[in-house]
This record gives sequence, structure tokens and C-alpha cells, in this order.
Amino acid sequence: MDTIIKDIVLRNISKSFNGVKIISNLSVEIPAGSKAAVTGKSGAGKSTFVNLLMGFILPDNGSINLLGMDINDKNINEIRKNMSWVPQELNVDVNYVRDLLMLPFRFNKNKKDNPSGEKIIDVLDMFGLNEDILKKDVSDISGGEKQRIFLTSASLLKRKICFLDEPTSALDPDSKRKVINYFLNECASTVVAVTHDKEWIDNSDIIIDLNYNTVKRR
Amino acid sequence: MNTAIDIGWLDLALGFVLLVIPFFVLWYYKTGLLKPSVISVIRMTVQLLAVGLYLEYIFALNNIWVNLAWVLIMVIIATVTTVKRSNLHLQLYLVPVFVSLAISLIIVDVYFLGFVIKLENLFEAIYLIPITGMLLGNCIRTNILGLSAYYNKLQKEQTLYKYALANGATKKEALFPYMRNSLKTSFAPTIATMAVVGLISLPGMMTGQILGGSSPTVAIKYQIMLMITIFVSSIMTVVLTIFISNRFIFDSFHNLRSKIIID
Repeated sequence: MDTIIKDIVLRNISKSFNGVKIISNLSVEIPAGSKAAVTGKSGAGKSTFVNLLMGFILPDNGSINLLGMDINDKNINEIRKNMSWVPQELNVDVNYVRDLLMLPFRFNKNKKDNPSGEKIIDVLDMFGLNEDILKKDVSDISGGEKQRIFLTSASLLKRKICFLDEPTSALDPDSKRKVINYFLNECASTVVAVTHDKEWIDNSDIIIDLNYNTVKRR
Repeated sequence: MNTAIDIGWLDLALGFVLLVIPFFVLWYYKTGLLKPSVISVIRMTVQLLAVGLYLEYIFALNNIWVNLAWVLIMVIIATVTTVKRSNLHLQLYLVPVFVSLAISLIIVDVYFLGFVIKLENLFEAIYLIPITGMLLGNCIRTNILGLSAYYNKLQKEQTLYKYALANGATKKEALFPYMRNSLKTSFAPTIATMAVVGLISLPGMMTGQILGGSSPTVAIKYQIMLMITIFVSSIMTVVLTIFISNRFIFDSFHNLRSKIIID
């Protein structure tokens, strides 16, 4: 009997847009705590794949199960409460970096998990950021710093499943190494990252290559 | 007090000569607005002449059903105008905008005419029709601003909406910034106007009443109430339209169904 807990199970998923098949009959199992990299050329369906897992797009065929629940309109709220997502780019109408970082903690569900000042500083430090950045105006920080701020929020949320969209696209090599080390080695969550980064792909447990519709395990 | 001096038809035509100035400016700077503004002036004139004739008849008749039918027509026209000018799909938004306008107007009209002015007959034509008309005119303006701001931002900033949902927000929490933006965009001008009324502007209704023979004291009381009722009915309309439409522009997974704005 298979006793490994699977956080994410996709069975025979297909998705087309305007008659063009983007994802065809894909089945994937991602065990709890493992790290999956989703890769493929532009238009291969990487964003579609992650959007399917978050319930933002519905499959034409097949089933998607997250944390033991088949995604449907009854349990989508419960499923989303157990995930976090960092998009590749996001513009938020706030003034200060602290507001950007604390954005998810304004939601009622997350208020009880409001991180302490020390915890925030620890995570910022882990991603190579200084606490002074919190006082800065959002327009004064770089793309890479902004990306690490969103990654900091995601790690502070400590969700069971964490979806990341090109998490190292704006990072310098040193910051990239720190982010990869945390999400692939230290983080307890199941991590699904859309990425082109070779280092990230090489160090992931599962590689979902949407160019060839293949799933490789290390 | 005397009533206002009537304007002769020839004198009215003389008033149109003033339009040479805006028409020249719009033509000179090649704004492309000359033709639309000529059409608008013609429409405004014809519509007002028709309404003037019709109101003369309707005020003399003062029949409750005719008055209500007239208000209903005004609300339907306001609904279609609001949806079209907000670039929204008519089939999707006709009902929410109509229901919101109707609810807001019923509440505000009944309160103002029944409890404040204490009319014996709430449907008295000379009160019901002009006051509802003024409320509607302002509701259209704020509703167009509010709905355009809400749905444009929602369509353009889908990533932010999804980010909120995927990081623990309820649908209501995820939509909060869009509602805030809509209210700020649509009501900042109304609030600014209220703050300077009487100082740098004399509103139309007050001016009309004074010209019509009312004392300035009576005129300002009506104007104050009108500013309040416009504020209340406009905000109710914007919020109700968004609340009602939110129920069917999203699927059961809280995803925006499809494009809601016409490009």
C-alpha cells in the first residue's frame, strides 16, 4: 500500500484554449513536502498548470486533488486557505515596503499568524535583505528586492503548499542561491515553482516538463 | 416675489450665438469633438423642448400613474446610458443598474418627499419629477465613474485579485481594494463640490428656484437637501450595482467569468 501522503495529485488533465490544446492528458503526483519544478518554453502551459492547481482555471478533463480534496466549488476556499502564491510580477497600490510585505496578513484568515518583528527580520536576512528596507517607499526598491519581499511574505505564511512563478527571474546570483536554498532545502511546504532556472530545476525532486508532457523524479 | 422673465424664442436663438466660442476652439485644435458637440447641443435642445412641452402637460394632469410611468422611463434611460458609457455589456448590467437605481431612488425620494418636505401626495408631479430627475442625473455621473473604475481595475489587475485569493483572502477581502478605488474615484468630485457650494458656485436648482420666485432662504434649504440626497442616492447606487453584479460576474470558484468591459 502506498503510504506516502500526496499533497497534489493530477489525473489525466487536459486544457485547451480556443481549440488549441495547451495541456494534454497530464498526470502528476507530488508528495507532501517535496519540491516540483514546472518548466517549458513560452506558451507551453506553465502558467496554465499553476492556475489549474489554484482553481483559477478549470480543466476540460481529469481531476485535481490537493491535500486530499478534489478541487470543486464547495472546497475551493478551504484549499486556498492552505496555499500561498508568489506571482512573477505584481503591482500593489501601497506606499511602503512594510505594507507590501504585510499585505497577506491584512486578511482575516492570516491575522492570527501575524509575524513578530524578529521573525520578519530573520526571514528578510535569510533572503539577503536588511530590515531598513521596510521603511522604504515601494517605488524606491528594485525588482529583485520586490520579488524577495513577496517571497518573504510567502515564507512567513508557512502554508502547506507554496506556488512560485519564476521566483528567481529578477535576482542576482547571490540572492538567487539564498532563495533556492530556502525553498528547496529548508522550507517544509510542498513547493511548486514555474522556473527556467537550471540550478532550481536541477535541485528539485520532481521536474514537470511541459514541452514534452513528461514528469521526471530525482 | 416675481417669477423669472420669460425668454423669447428669438432671444433664445441669440443665446446660441455664444456657442461659436467653444465650437471654434474645438475645431481649431482639431479635437474631433466639434461634430459630437454640435450633435449634443442639438440633442440637448430638442430633448429639453420636448420635455418642457411634456412637463407642462404632465404637471397639469398630475396623475399618479402617468407620473410614475415618466419616472420609470427616466430610470430606464439612465440605466442604458450608465451601462453604455461605462463600456459594460448591456445584457449583463441592465438588471443590476436598473435595480440599484430603482432601490436608491425609492428610498431617497420617499424619505425626502415624505418625511422632510412632508408632501401629502408623494407622487405630486412638480416635486417627484424634477427631484428624481436631478438625483438620476447625478447618479448617472457617479455610477459611470464608479463602475468604470471598479471593472477596469478589476480586469486590468487580475493578478492582484488572484494573489489575494491564493494567499488567504475571502472574495470580499480580495475585492476590497477595487471597491475602495471605485468609491474614491466617483465620490472625490462630489465631496469637493459640496465643500465649495455657495462659495464659488451657485447650484442650478437654487438658481432656478430664485429665478422662479422663491426666497433665497427656501432655495438654500432645498439645495442643502438636494446635495444630501444626491450624495446618498449616488453612493447607494454605486455600491448596490457592484454588490448585485458581483453575484454573477464571478463563477463559483470566484474567478471573473469573462471580459466584462467592452474594448
